[in-house]
Amino acid sequence: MKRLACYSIKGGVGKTAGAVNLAYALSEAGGPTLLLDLDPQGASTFYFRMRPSRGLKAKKLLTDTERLLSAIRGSDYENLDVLPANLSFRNLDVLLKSLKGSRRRLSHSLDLIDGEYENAVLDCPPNITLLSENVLTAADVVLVPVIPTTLSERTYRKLLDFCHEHRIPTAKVYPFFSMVQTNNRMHRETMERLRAEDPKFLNTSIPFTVEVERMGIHREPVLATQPRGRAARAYRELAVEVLWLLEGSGRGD
Amino acid sequence: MTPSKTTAAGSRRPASARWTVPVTTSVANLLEALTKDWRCVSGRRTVRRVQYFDTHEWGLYFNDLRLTLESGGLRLAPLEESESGVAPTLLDLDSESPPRFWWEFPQGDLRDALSSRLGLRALIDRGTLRISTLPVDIKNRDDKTVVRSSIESFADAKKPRRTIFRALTARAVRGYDDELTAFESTVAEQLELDTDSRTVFDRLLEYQELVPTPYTSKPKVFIARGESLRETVVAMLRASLELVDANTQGTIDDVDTEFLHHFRTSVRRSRSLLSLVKGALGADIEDRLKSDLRELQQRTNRLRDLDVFLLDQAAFRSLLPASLHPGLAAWQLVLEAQRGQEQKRLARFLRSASFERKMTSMRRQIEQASANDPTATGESPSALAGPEIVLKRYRRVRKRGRAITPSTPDEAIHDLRIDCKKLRYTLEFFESVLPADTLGTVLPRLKKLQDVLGDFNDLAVQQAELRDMFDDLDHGKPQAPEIALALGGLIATLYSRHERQRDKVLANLQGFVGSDIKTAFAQLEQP
Ligand SMILES: Nc1ncnc2c1ncn2[C@@H]1O[C@H](COP(=O)(O)OP(=O)(O)OP(=O)(O)O)[C@@H](O)[C@H]1O
Ligand SMILES: [Mg+2]
Repeated sequence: MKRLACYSIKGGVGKTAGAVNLAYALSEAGGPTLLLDLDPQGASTFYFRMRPSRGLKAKKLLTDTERLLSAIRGSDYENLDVLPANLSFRNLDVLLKSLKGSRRRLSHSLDLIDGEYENAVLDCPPNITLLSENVLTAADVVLVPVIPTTLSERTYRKLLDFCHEHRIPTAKVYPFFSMVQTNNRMHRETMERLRAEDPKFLNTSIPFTVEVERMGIHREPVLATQPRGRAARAYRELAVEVLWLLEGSGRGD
Repeated sequence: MTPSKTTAAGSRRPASARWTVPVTTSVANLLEALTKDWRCVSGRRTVRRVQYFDTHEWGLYFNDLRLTLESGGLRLAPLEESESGVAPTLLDLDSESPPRFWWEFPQGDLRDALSSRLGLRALIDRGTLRISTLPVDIKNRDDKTVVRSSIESFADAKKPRRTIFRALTARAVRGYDDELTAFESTVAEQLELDTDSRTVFDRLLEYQELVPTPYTSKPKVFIARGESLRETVVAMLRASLELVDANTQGTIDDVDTEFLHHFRTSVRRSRSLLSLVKGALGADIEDRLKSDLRELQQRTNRLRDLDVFLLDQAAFRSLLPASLHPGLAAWQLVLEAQRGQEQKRLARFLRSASFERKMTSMRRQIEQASANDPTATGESPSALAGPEIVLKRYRRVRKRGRAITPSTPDEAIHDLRIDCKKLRYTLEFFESVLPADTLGTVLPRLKKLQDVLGDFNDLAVQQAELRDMFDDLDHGKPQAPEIALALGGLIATLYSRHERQRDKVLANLQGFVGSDIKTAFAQLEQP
């Protein structure tokens, strides 16, 4: 099972939009996929018309495979399941601190469902905590949505610093441009400059589109509602790039 | 990761249910009824054609399997599995219909799975369904799909307009088991539908008025208490003639070689019965029946010989070096051509009025015998006469068997084989009036001995037959020398095998003429 995380220290940059649509694209192209909504806000869960799970308390997520498995729900789409968010995920951090080997806890949980899915996609809340450390440790590839603005750029750098500090290899961290407005000169210039400075930016960038904005109304991935739209095409292309990275990440399947 | 471990939606086998819907309830009515309690969103209707195959003996059905052809793909699946199940396509066909025999399939899982279940039998068409499926997603208040249901209408593909049965199915979505349970109770309580435990294939068979029955080429005739020998013989002959009948059409149509084989087995058993239980029907009738049966046997001899040679080709190949294989292949073509002609000739006979008359006449003889005044032998009770006849046969085997030494000529061994065969027949005829422990001791040992003797005989007979084949060769044909080479090679190989087989015969015989078998037979002696 290959593990992909959408992560950023900054809120509202397109992590959830990315996780939801990439999970959908991976389930189409790369086999059975599980989307784990680790954000207690439950935005991913909402997009799949699900309710936060009642049964699965944070502690169980980390200690009890049976409970973890029984909390998984089938989405409306073939090959795509979701682990819905749970309000108690707010306490994940406190809980993690209380457990032994706190940094690798999430990684161990994923080991428990290894073999059930080809891909796991993690949607994460936007803060730097012990949970972030867990996510960064567990993932084979960490995707960081970056809106081409100076502020976003700064939080991306902060994330890299955080990795260095905690001895998490930054090789698996890949930024991509999110919510790009092509007619915005500032966006264009920032992208040009950042690509020149950091070659790790993925080729595909996700445009700012009404389709994605309206995901909250349709409560479906844009790949399902407008499979031929501009956003869907971009997410599919991004998924291809990501699959390449995951293949190369060396997780022996 | 192996795909079999995958349990994600779609590849996992989720909980499911299936109900019978009366054909009088239309799809629209059913949907309307469901909509009272559930939000239903129907998808696009799809139509599929599924063709079923099995053998004459239902070799797949009785192994709880079904073989289907759908859009050019062959699937072998458990009988119980839903038609829209997850059975993978095992073979994509280029042609309209699948190969007939397992050995005509390409090497692989499907061929392996079929070989033991089909034996020498051909796959035959068991009907085609036209399945029209309307998927209906059941949604909750968030418009999330919580149950995947569908309405399936089944029709005979030949009469697609008439639905023969209809079903409602429901499959759980992972994590929404409670919703499936609730849906199930709606269907049971509001719609009052019954769950359907019969398989789709069973319903198709029922519609076609086909009843899979275990087939046997040996009719078991139970001898009632106090039954006379005449009654027993009449019952057995009736059953055998029925089997001849049952195998006639398949022989004419040349479905597979087993039809002729069983046709002949029934004829042979009837002949043996008449000669082993002499006088039960009166000499007149017995003679006439015997001569009719002999004719049936003689008319089928040649085709059966050719069948056996063709079935043996693979074994022959393994006996010869590769350099002789081209000759073998050329010979096979000759055999196939001869078989084609012979089959036509026999089919013509089996379709003729003369065959029809013969069968009618035999049936009449049998009924006549049962209506006539009984002969003295015919009147004696089977329960007494049977064991006596068996004992007589056993004594013959024992006497001849004990006389056999390593230097006995082949002929004596062949005679012993005939005696064993007769003993076996009498044991089977009178099985129901013989002590079970005698049968339990004797039959397995006798079967083993017969196998060894049978091989010994086949090896000798085949040598002679191959020699005849050589004589019959059209020596002017360019392939003739190569075929002759292959035949010569085979004769030499069979010869040396035949010599070795003799030791096996002697070893098995030792046991059979010994004291424990004698004790087992002693139980049949009348006080
Ligand atoms: N490409 C896009 N085009 C238009 N709107 C977008 C796009 N990507 C995201 N949005 C919108 O921006 C908002 C934030 O996006 P999203 O929820 O994906 O970000 P996030 O990083 O997951 O946020 P949070 O940190 O709160 O979890 C949402 O309303 C979403 O619909
Ligand atoms: Mg989010």
